[in-house]
Amino acid sequence: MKRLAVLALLATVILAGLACGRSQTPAARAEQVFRFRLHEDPPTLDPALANDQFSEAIVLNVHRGLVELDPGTLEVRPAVAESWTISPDGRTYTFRLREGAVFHNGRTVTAADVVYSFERILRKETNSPRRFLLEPIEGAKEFTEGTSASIAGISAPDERTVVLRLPKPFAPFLSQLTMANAAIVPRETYQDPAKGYLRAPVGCGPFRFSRWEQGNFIELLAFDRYYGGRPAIDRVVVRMIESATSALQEYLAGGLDSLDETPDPGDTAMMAKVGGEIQKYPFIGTGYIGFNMAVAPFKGNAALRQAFNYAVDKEYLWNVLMPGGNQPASGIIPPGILGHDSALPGYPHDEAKARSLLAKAGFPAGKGLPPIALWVNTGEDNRKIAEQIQSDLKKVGINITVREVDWAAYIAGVSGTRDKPGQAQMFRFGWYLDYPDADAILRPLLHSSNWGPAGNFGRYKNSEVDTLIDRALDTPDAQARADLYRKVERIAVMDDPPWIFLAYYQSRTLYKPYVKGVVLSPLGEFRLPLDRLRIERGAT
Amino acid sequence: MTPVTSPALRPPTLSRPRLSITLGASLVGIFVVCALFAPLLTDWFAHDPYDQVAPRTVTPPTPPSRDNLLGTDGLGRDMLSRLIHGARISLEVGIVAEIIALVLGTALGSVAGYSGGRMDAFLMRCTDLVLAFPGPLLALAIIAAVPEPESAPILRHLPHPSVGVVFLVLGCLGWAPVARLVRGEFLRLRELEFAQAAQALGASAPRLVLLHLLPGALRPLIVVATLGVGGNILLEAWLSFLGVGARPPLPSWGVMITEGQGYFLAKPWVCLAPGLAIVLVVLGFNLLGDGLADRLHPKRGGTVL
Repeated sequence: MKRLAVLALLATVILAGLACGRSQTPAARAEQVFRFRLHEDPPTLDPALANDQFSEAIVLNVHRGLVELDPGTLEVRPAVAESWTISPDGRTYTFRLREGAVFHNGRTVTAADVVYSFERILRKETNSPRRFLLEPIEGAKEFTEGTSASIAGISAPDERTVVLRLPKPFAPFLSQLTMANAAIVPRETYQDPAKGYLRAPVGCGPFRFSRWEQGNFIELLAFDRYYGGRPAIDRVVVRMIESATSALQEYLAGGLDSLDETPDPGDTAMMAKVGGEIQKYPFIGTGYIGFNMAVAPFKGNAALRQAFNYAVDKEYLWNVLMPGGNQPASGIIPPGILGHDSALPGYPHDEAKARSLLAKAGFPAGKGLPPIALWVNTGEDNRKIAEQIQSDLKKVGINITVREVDWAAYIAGVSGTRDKPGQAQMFRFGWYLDYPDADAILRPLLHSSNWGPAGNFGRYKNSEVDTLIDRALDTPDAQARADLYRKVERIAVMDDPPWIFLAYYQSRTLYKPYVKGVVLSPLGEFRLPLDRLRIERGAT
Repeated sequence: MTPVTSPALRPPTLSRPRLSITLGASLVGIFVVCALFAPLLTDWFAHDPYDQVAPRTVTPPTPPSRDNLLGTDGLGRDMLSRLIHGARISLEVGIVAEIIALVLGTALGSVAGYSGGRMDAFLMRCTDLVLAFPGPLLALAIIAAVPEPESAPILRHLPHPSVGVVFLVLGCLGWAPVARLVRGEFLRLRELEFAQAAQALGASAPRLVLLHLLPGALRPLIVVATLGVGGNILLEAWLSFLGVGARPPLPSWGVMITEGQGYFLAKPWVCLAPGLAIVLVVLGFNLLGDGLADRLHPKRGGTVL
């Protein structure tokens, strides 16, 4: 036993010597460690089950799918598939896998692994919350229901080719395949009935899983045989720190290299210390005040909703009252998403227009309006937003009350049931896009098929908008789709607004100055792949 | 024999009640003047309590300045004006709720104390029930029952419907101690010679209660009422602080503290000002009540006026 240990030591020394000999600088390079913070343990490390940013933060670094999103431009780019073709009818996707993709256990990634991984997500027992991502594939539903033993629309003609067939064209399909859930996993690990993979995931991404100390940290190590080249960061430590204050102290003390929460801009002492390290950049989400359009007075009264929009001063709200957070919104689709229209006029603050529209809506100077309550979920910021809106509306003669309710009661009061509208006449809400496609915000929030608790809480129904959203799905050409989405916004923002358009969200992240290669991604700091990062600590 | 040390029976000194009455009355007086003349006062040297007066280019709260003597709050509204108008809400709630409690409590206490027997036993068990009931729970129950005061049957006619809920809570909680006190006084007074004489001369029950017994119970009632107003103001602030009382944008002091707590370290005036106001007005009522208790104590032979 002892001899074995000595041998192992010797082998390590020799290997280390070889490695040093190969590297270009003879001096041993300092280990590059990147430490970032999650608020708590990710609920799962299984790509099929990941349904939140924290899980994705790990999965996106351990795993890779056929395609991935460029975190900067949000364009789809090759991952395990080195290339792909889409048939002219938009129904057949043929992926060519790259030669050098290897799982962390050393085995080469083959087309059979893709088939296995996709079947795994669609299998009923897996219970994946993101099954819908693959449901556009022909035969997916039959496979899930058990009426078919295989998925008709997936085939692997050879080791390096995967063909996916859809019953009808579905434009966001490729975007959906970039999601963390569509990762390719090795069958030998993920067939384990004891589910060991839940604690020790195996993928083909740039970092391999090393260990997980629950409630404390997760450690990832650079994977030498990553097809994209070994990452510059040798070790990633993901630290679980719940309190924002402790996390900030830890960042100041040098225990974290980045942090997703920044100090309050009013805290001048703290801002003096770290203010220069704050990065602000758009995040694909939109904040709004929804109207309940199933009941009076907002039902069928677009002029009234327009009046509310003109009355609210979004510039003051986000630039002066609560600075540093969000960007005043002019519409629905946030910047960075195909279809975002920077030329959309939106509703700049204009009290005169608000007053005349109010009169046109049948409530001159607010006379005749029933009592209106604006619901917000409990929280200092929400209350402040609500009070500001209340104050703005009062100036044109609209009196509303603010109701602050805890989350469960809030959701019930806002969404109602399928048949009965919620009690709230107005409510504050925000939406983060699941995947970077305009469909991921327009369909859940405004399409009449998602009426009620499914997402369209305000019960917006505009047949023109419905048609355009549906048509965009069948339009493979990106420019043509973008035009359709711009048309949707012209109607759903300018003519028949379902909301007060409040904010395009922004990310605010602290990065130490020595962290290089950071992409300020609209996907947020958690969905950022770390293989391009490097640490440059100056002369030391 | 141990000497009696109960504060109520301690021989009162001359200066203490007078001092606390003077102090208490002046504190209360200041706030009463604020409340009565709030619009006049704020027109004269402050602003409308709902106007965002801070410059539209500076992130509020702005610090105290010549234009805003106590600074502005998180939405840029003048703190001083809000405090003055807040006094209106606080006193309104304190006094009106106490009147509700006094009317209810006196009526029930009189019936119990005068009739005795089963009626007395029943009413006193009800009183015990209310006294034993945790106040916050009752408050939450009432708030749950009236989630939309703006469209509730009677409350919606009030100038501030959400404050109406506070009246309900305080009135429902406040009558019990009054009822118990009145009933106790009646039991005592009923046996005294003047009451016996009135009864013997054939005085009717209402006459006996209203003209003979109630005046006798007036002195302790005044003390209880004064202390009660202070307690009500505190409770109103507490309910509003929790977000179940007066609703924004009403300048209730409790609401103001909630809104200011986020700035506690960086911009303390936003929550210290309403906090101090609550302390002072409640202190005023308590001093006044204590002073009156001493001054009106039968052993000193004090008079109501």
